[in-house]
Amino acid sequence: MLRMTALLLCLALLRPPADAAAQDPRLAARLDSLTRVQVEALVTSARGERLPTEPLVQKALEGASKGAPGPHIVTAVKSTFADLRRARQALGQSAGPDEIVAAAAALRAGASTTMVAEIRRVAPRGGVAVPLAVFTDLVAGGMAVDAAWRSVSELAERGGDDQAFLDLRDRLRPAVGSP
Amino acid sequence: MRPDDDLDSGDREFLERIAAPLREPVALSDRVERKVLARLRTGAGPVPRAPYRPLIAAAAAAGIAAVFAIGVLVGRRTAGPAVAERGPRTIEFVLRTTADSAVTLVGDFNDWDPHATPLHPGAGGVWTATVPLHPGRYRYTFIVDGSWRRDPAAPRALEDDFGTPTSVITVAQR
Repeated sequence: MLRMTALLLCLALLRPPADAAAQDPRLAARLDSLTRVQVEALVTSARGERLPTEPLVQKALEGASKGAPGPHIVTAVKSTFADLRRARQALGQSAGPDEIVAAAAALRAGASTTMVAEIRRVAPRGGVAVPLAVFTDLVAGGMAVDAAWRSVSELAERGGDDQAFLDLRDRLRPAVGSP
Repeated sequence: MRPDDDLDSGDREFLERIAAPLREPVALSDRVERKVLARLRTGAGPVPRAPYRPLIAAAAAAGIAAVFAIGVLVGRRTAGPAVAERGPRTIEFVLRTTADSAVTLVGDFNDWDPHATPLHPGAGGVWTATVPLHPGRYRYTFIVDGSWRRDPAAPRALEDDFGTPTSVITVAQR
C-alpha cells in the first residue's frame, strides 16, 4: 500500500493537469477562444512528437498581431507544424530546436529533405542551424536553389564555422547585410 | 508578469525537452491492475499497513532524486548545439525613416507584441533598438506609424504566411 501511495504521489507531482500543459497564457491573451483551442491542440501534438513548440506559438502571435482571421492563423500554424515535422525527419532525432527551425525554413525555401540530411552528414562544428539559415537567406535573396546549396555545402565540407557561413552570405548578397 | 517571462525561447524549448518525457503516461503492470481490480471486486477492506521503514523510504527518495538529476544532466548534454551554454548577444536593430511618431520592433523574440520594443529616434532619422538574442533564427519586422515595414538591410523571410513583409536575422555563436 505504501508503495502504491508513493507511486501515485510521484505521478501526481510529475504530471501536470492536461489543461495546464496545453494552455499558454500568451495565446489566451491574444487569440479568440475558437482559434486558441485549435492552436493549443497543435501545440500539444507538436509537444507529443518532441518538436519545438515555440515556433507554433510565435506564428500564432504573429498572425494575431497582424490582424489575421482565426482560420488563417490556424492554417499558418498547421503549415509550420508540417514544416517542423519534415525538418526533424530529415535531420534525425538528435537535432536541436534551432536546427529544426532552420531546416524547416530551408525546406520551405526549396531544399529537399535529401539536401538537409546531407548537410547534417557533413555537419560543421557549430551544428547545421546557421548553414541552413544562410541557404534560406540566399534563396530569399534571389539565388537559385541549386547554386545556393552548392555554396553552402562546399563550405560545410571545408568545416566552416557559423561566422564563415554568415560571411559567405554577405559576400554573395552584397546588397543585403544583417543588422 | 508571467512566471516564465525571464525564459527565452531556447530555455523554454530546453525545459520542454526535459519535462515532456515526465508527462508521459506511466503504464501500470498487469499484476498491479489485477490486484486493484480483484480488491475492488471483493470489496476487501484496507490492506494491513506495512511497517514504516525510514531507511527504505530515504533510499527510495534518494533514488528518485538521482534519476531526476541524471535526466537533467543527460538532457542538457543532448539538447542540441549549445542551447544552454550560449549566452545572448546584444543586437542593434536600425531603421532609417522619416517617421515622426512611433517606430516599434516586433518579432519571434518579443511575442510579436507591438508595445514591447519601441525604437528610439536619433540624428538623421535613424531609429534604433537593442535586443539581447540567443543564437538562432528570428523573423521580425518594424511598425512605422502603424504600417508594417520590412528591414531593408536584412534578408527577407520566405515563410510570410500573413501577407506582410517580414525580415530574418540569424544570430551566430560568438
